[in-house]
Amino acid sequence: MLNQVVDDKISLYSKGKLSSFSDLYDQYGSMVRAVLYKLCDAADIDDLVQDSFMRIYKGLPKFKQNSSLKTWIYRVAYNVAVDDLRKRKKPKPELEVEDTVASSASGTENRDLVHKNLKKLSEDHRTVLVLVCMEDLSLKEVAGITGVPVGTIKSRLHHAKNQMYAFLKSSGAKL
Amino acid sequence: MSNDINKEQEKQLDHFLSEFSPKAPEASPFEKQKILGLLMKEEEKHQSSFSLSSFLRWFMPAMVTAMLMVVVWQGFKPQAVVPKVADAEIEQYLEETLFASFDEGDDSEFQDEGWMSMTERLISSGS
Repeated sequence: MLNQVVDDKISLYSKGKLSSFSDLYDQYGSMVRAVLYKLCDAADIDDLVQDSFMRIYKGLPKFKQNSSLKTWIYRVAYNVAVDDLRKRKKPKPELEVEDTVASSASGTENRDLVHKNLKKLSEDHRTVLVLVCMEDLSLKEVAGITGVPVGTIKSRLHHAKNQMYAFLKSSGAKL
Repeated sequence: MSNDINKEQEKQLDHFLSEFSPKAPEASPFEKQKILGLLMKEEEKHQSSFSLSSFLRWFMPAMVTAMLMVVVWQGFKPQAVVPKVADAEIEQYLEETLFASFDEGDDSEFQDEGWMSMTERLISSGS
């Protein structure tokens, strides 16, 4: 039902209805923002969200609905993130041990801890971990988004989890 | 990492990551308006500005088609038919129409009396 509504919105948008795009933003704005925050630098989040929606706006008429709209929007956001990371070409963060978190760490502190440690992962590992473990996408969906075979995604996820577990443990997180 | 995590640790990690998934800072209340404004500008720019791609896509084929049509039309255009009329026919036509009025009039008097009498008067006056 919801998909039908969204499909109607796409066709409306294709006929030049900006109001339908406004609804699309309402529905997927926070999702795009969340995934970009996890994959990229928080300082540029507003620009990246804008860039993503510009790309969505331009790409929607060409969207062939081979995948779900949600997956397609994830792919757009992922591409924006990859472009941003490549543009910056930041040196890989050192694997230094972050400030230890007390056993009574609050949710916010744990979130910060996860966010900090995400940055320590490689781009590929971070992407897979974020999309699978935090955005609850299937391996197949992630493969579709990243354009990488499912087997590779599985392997990357395995390595990403091992690394993340070690980082969190060394940061003092109480798993 | 040399040490792989076991199933139990993996489960703990999954739970931890889903529970403490980083939350993005709230979007500005004007973010949506800003994006929609940018899109509107983009749309206006797209509509008003000359687009080379649209030129190539629409105008050029239309122009080429029009030129081809002109060439084809010129090639197969029927020649203008100018009826060839013989001089004799023209003469006959003129005689039948224009000069007919002269023939129709009775100029016997003019010829016999008018001109002749005038000639006579001139001769007599001269003499």
